[in-house]
Amino acid sequence: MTSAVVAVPRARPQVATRPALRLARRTRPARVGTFVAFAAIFTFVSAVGFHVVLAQGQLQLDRLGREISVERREYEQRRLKTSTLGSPQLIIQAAEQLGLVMPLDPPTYLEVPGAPAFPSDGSRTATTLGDWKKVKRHLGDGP
Amino acid sequence: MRLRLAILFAVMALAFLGIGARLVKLQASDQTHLRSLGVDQRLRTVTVAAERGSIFDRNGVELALSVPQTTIVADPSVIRHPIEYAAKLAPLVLVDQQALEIRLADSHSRFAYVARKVDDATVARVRALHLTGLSYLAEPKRFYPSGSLASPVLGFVGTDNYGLAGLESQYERSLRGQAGKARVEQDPQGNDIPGGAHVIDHARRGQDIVLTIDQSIQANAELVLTQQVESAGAKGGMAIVADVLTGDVLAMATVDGATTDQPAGPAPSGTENRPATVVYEPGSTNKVITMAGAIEEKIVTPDTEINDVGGDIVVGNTTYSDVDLHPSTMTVAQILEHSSNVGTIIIANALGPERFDHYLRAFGFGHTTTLGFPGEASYRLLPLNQYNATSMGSMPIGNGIAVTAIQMLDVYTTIANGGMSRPPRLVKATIDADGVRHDLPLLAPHRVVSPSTASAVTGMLELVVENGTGTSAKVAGYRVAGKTGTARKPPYEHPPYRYVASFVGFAPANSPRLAAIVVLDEPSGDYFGGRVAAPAFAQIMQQALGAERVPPVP
Repeated sequence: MTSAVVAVPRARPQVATRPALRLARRTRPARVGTFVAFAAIFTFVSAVGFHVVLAQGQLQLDRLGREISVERREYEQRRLKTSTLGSPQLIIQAAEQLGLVMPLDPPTYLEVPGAPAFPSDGSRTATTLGDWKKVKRHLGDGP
Repeated sequence: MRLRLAILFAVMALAFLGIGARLVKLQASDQTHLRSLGVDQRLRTVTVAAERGSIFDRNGVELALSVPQTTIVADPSVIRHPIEYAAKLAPLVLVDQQALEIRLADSHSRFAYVARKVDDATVARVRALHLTGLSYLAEPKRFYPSGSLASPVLGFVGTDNYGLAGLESQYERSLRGQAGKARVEQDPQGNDIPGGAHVIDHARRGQDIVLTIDQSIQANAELVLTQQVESAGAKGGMAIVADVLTGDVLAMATVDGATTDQPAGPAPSGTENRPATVVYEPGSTNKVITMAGAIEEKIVTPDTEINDVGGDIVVGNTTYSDVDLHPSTMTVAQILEHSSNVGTIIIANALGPERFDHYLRAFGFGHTTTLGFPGEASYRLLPLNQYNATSMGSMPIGNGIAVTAIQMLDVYTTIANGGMSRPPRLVKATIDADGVRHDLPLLAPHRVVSPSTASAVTGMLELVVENGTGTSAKVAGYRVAGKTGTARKPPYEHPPYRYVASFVGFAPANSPRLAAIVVLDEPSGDYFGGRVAAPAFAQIMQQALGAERVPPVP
């Protein structure tokens, strides 16, 4: 580059110089840093959120577990109450309160007309094993 | 400015360096120790008790079951005012205040029982106190819904749910199940941290057992026996009902006589199961073995006439006689029908000691039954070579030997079953933790006498009830076979004399289904088995036949 200017330059009004604007380009490390920072924050928030969800789920499970044990306890208590109310002692007490009395003579077993006939010809009665389904039908198909 | 910034930076750098160094020390060098301290502070491993299996009667009625209750425990290490705690808790949970105070004051301990197996209402009152350091554990408690019904048979469990007597003890391994473990996380105040517990080992429920006992037959047997013990003024009584064909014991009752404090009633929990654990002299009920042996050996038949029965008989240095006068000649059947001691001794001597001893053992004397009940008695029979001069006088009529009620019932069950012994049993099935039922096979029978001998003896026993000493054992609508027994208890020579009265038999005699025995200990008035035990037998058998749907025989 050569210069051919020889004339005395006129005085020109002073113009404030400013650097030419240019698009500043971010450096690669800065972008990576930003990304990592965001990723870290996102991960942290996600982890916290996930943990909260887990904790909520666990609390829900605990609550259900407690409900199950309460219901189970209730079931067991009622089971006990049912068995107690069905005990012969309480039934006798309840019957006596209703005015019922024990018979002086033992009750006699009667065959009801029309009821299924069991062998009772005098030579043979129904036997437990031979006639299980008739004699002990309330106990299932066999001993 | 720069200087100040530099100083600030240096201070912060030093601070972070210090924190970092401390972190490294805590995380690296002290890590193991601190972790164990933390774990020890937060985590506790607790045993999760297994639910004990239930005991059912043969129809599925629960006779024993476990229901969760609450055990209140404390962490004394976090309790600062044990005296106040004890004063508040003791009246609610009904424990000794001083003892509780001592337990809570042990600040080195992290576990102390406040009260075990407390009902829900009490727990609610304790929770309302909002005391820190208390925890609440579920712990099963054993209940017997039918009260004292069959108590001596069922037995009982201790505080830690271990079976201590009866079937609870015999089937402890099956009923107990397997305890589990859980790790719980707690805050410094001893409160459980939600989500902080996890199970290490799951508890496995114990097996249920299904008995052969029938609740209604058992209840009636206890009721009738109680009335009879009361009216006879007896010291106690026992009764058993069994299924002839299966050996299943349907009822096994023990009754205590009246005392100055209380009336007669079923034996409470903790009483021994006397029908299996107490021996008595059977008296004349033992004559059936003498008769069965003599008929089996073809020495006599029911119709064989025996002479010189009317008087006394001397065996060794002892004279044996009968309570009632008898004709001088009686058939074998009549001897049993009228329970002649003299006639029975004559037949026994014809049988001879060797064969007599053989039949005693063959019918099950001298060893325990197949029940295997805890504490079951087994009177050692006198070895043959140790028989003395009077052995063949006393033993054939049921003196000088001792048996349990279940052993004597087994003899009659064998006769009723056509000469085949059907070993008795109390448990017919188990139900595992998955709800699968496992039926136990019937125990193998074995032949003791031939069917013809059993049939002949059954006929003779029918005559006992029809015309002989056991007429009070008749059951309307059914043919009954059985035998009375009356034995004097030692000391034999000195008054006041004490007796054991019994009746054992089966019905229907033509096709036996049920056998039963009733034994009264020391009746104070009338003491003959035919008068005090036979009526109770009739009532018990009547109800049992109905419950078993055995039709009456026209």
